Amino acid sequence: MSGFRYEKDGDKIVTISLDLPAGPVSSETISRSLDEVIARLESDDVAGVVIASGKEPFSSRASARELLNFPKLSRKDVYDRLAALKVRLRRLESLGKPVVAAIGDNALGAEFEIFLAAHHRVAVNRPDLLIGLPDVAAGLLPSLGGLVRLVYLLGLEKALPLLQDGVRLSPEKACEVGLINELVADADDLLSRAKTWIKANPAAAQAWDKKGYQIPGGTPAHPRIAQMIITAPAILRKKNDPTRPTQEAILCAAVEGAQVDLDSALRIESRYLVELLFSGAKA
Amino acid sequence: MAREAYIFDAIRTPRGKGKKDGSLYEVKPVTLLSNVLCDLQERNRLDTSQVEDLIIGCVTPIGEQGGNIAKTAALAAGWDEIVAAFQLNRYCASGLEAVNLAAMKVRSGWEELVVAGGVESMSRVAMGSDGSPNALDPETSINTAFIPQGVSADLIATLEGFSREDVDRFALESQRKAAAASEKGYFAKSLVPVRDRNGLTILAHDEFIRKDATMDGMRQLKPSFEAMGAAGFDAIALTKYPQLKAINHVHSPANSSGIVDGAAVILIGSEAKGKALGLKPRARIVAGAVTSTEPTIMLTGPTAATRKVLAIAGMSLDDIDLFEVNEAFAAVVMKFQRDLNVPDEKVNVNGGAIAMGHPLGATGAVILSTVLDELERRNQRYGLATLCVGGGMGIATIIERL
Ligand SMILES: CC(C)(COP(=O)(O)OP(=O)(O)OC[C@H]1O[C@@H](n2cnc3c(N)ncnc32)[C@H](O)[C@@H]1OP(=O)(O)O)[C@@H](O)C(=O)NCCC(=O)NCCS
Repeated sequence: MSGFRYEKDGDKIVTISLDLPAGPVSSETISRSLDEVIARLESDDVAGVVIASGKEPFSSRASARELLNFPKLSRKDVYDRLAALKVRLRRLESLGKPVVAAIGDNALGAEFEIFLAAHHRVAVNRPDLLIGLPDVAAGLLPSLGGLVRLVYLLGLEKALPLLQDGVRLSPEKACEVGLINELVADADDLLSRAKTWIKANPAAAQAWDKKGYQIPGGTPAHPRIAQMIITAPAILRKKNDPTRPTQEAILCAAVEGAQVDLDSALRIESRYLVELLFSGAKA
Repeated sequence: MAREAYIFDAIRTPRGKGKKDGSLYEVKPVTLLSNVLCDLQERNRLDTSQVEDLIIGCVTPIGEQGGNIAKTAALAAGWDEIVAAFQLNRYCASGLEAVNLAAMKVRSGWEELVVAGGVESMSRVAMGSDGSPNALDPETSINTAFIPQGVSADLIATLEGFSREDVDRFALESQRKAAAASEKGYFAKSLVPVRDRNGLTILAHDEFIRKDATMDGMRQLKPSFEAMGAAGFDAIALTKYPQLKAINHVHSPANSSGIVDGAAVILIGSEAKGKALGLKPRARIVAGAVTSTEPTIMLTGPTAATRKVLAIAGMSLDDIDLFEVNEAFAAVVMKFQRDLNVPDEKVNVNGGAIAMGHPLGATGAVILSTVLDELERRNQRYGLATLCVGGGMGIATIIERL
């Protein structure tokens, strides 16, 4: 059975939301569910897609480590699963139809990474909600392209501190820093706002898939970014935070990813993540 | 007795397609090189504190290949801090120049153990992106009659009367030989897979080879250097070669060397050092030579360099069992064979850069390892590697399998 609800309205806008069956949640379950729902979207006649929060955020059902490595897998298996998941999210964001995230619940870690594959993110402005990529606290880096997409979205200068601090923000703050594009006051307006955006942006695509896209602030070859990169390892060493090894891996993966194209960057992200996962470099 | 320089081991990465969709595009040049250094260390249980110098050819030494990529990679590989290192650029000869220089160091007695090789990530640091006054300074370009190497290759073909059909046929043979050798595992001895930080394989074979290449398929391709020629470079070439009426542009993507990523390293040392470290010599470096020829035609150096190295070694062409002549462009090798009357059976017997690619700074070391492997496989004795080089230069090295 599918792990996503699939509801199509009269305007051919499909709303999907994660609705995983009971039992352990792993990258495999999510991957299979994504595969099914994306295949259906690809073959259906749709005007756009809303990915909405599920009935329960999956960060509350499985830790990042459990998600990635359940049951106990080899490095190769984890890497291959991540690769499959990333391909699926690439398919979603390059569907050729607008994709909007409608965030009405906590969206942390892998869940927010899925929302990062949307072209536009709307969230309910509830101060008790948390949005972000807190993986660093578990000694990990984002696993589903979240690190790469954050860098491509915000640029190295803005993305790196967020990733290294394990950003967890209220919707309002998340909107300020650029993780969210739009807020709604009332949860009941969430879907309609998402659909309004879809109708207004029928040709939406990811910025980084448009020809000539440049990472905000520039690549590591840009003199100002280069200056930042030169001092970054020293700053981490001076801070000497308990998560330093993880923060160093985040720095490396982010910088290396910004030197190549997005697909290569996604592979680099996985390679650093698998190393962290198996090195036991804990928080 | 004169001191000798021996090759103890020679390894290389596979060559990855040098574009964004190439497998090695995601690998930083420093990692490409430091990984192959680690492999060399592991394979030979090498105490790296015994290595005195590391010489690395790299033709576009800027950005990610900038600074001193040799020393940086040695440190990244965790080699002993005592290892000195530098990068050199003799254009396409760089990898072989590194080998020759290492042999000179060892034969002089000033050093006992040297690692030589090269690295080039053409997908990440584009050929020519380092800028050069030969093309970019008009005064120099005008005074030296600069033309791009592809037009030079077409000039050779025109002077020699090689038709498009001739160069395509040569290219098809390169593909056929490379595919057969790759399939039969002839490269297995020196080929070390590129792995990621988790030990997962990124690339284990030369991925540029086109097993299914055909004359028909190649015939369809447009000549790559016709437009540049028409823009005016033909006119420059014809001023130097007034006996020609026009340049026949025969080189295309199919019969020119491929743009690829790769690295190679060779462990070279004295007999005494080999004994002390328990390293078995695989070959002796007999002689090396560089020279230079007419710069506008640019790519005829292999003939002159081969004559010179044979003279240094006191050998004749017939003594050489196998030749590796870098396939920068088909006409380069065809002219070499015609000049020196070298039969097909002895030249690039396992294909060359047309099929597998030419990672500029690494190629000299790559083809030397290829000829050594093949000498061993065939139980033959002498091999000669030679390359054409920018500026009209040529380089050659003779090795004796032991
Ligand atoms: C010749 C050269 C300019 C071609 O570059 P390119 O156009 O980027 O080459 P590509 O590999 O993209 O090939 C171009 C096309 O030919 C096709 N092709 C290449 N070899 C082929 C073959 N054997 N059979 C059929 N098609 C072939 C490719 O598939 C490609 O087709 P596409 O455009 O539909 O994808 C480049 O390889 C070159 O500069 N080589 C020489 C490098 C050099 O100078 N080194 C230093 C020596 S001195």
